[in-house]
Amino acid sequence: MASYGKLREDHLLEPATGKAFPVKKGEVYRIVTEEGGQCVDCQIYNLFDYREHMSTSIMRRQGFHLEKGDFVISASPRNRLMMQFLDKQDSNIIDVLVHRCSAAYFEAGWDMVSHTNCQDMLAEAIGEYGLTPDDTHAVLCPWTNTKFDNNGKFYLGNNRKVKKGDHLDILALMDVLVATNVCGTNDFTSLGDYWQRPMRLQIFEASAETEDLVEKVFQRYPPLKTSRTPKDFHVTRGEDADFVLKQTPGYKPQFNDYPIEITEMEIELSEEDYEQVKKQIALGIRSDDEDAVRTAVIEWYCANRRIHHPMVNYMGY
Amino acid sequence: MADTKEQPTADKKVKIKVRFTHQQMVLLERLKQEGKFGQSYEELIPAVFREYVKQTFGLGGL
Repeated sequence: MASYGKLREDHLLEPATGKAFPVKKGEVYRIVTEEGGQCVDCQIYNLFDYREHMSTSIMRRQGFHLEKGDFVISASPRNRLMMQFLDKQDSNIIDVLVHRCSAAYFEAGWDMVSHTNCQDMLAEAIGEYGLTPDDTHAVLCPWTNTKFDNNGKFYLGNNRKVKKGDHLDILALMDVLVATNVCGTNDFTSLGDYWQRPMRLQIFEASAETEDLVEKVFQRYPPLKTSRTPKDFHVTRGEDADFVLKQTPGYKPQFNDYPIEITEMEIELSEEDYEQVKKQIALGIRSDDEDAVRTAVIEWYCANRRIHHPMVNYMGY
Repeated sequence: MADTKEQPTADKKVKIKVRFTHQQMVLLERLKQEGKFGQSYEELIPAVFREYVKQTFGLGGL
């Protein structure tokens, strides 16, 4: 693995929050599982022209799940290589199928009008750079274990094989703004094992080795002559300078349902019921007593009380 | 999280500490209002746990 430059950013990403950072060409953006596996959502923009942003639909040409060596690619008509996945563990499923959760998702599926959600968190994160909620786009989802059947219907697996300290490293091939949030569904789906945990975001400065990696990418895949930018358009809107991303000094995000409040209670199980807890743990499908009970209760609710709606029924219950 | 179980008491119960997010508590409150599984969280959670085991692993559980 290439050696990276100095760590220049180290941010604890709390549940119910998101954060955007500029990442310069040759730098490495790292996401770390601070406590364990769970879904996160990312958005990526050209730092100097936010009209150019990542497109998961074109990235799916590399597969529904992305691997080391695959690329973040910008939407048509730009179609440029923006970043490359350098390092990850096999248990990290990088998904480009799912749509980010939103307030409407929780209303449609659970009749909840207030639940932390990716759309609102990402909107608050990119707001620091002058972007609006309408500027969000389809997300890249590391640690999002989607599965699909022979009919193309997909459902969610879990992240129980992910370990504390696992990481995803993404090399910037151009100057970008990357926004990441802890997925709002983690406490309502198997992706978070029905819990919300913090993550860590880090940025490493460019090194001679990472700059060499960037150069090698463009030697192999030179910029495409037909990649179109506004100078090629006969219809345009606004001035180029309007689309440069700049940090707003003193910006304060307004996250919904932050901080996550926790209620702890003591319950009693019969010996017979507790035997079921122990068996689940022994099988490796639950990590401890608390996980076994909480997962059972919330998963049961979702399977039996969740409202069926086209916006949420992909979950396969 | 550390295993929170205690030794079985005289009436053969095992105590477990469980945390829920405030958003999960909304779901639990709805089940409490429904009344089918009990009038308190202490009744409801073990009852739902048993229902889950039945649905997921069959009547006899694992």
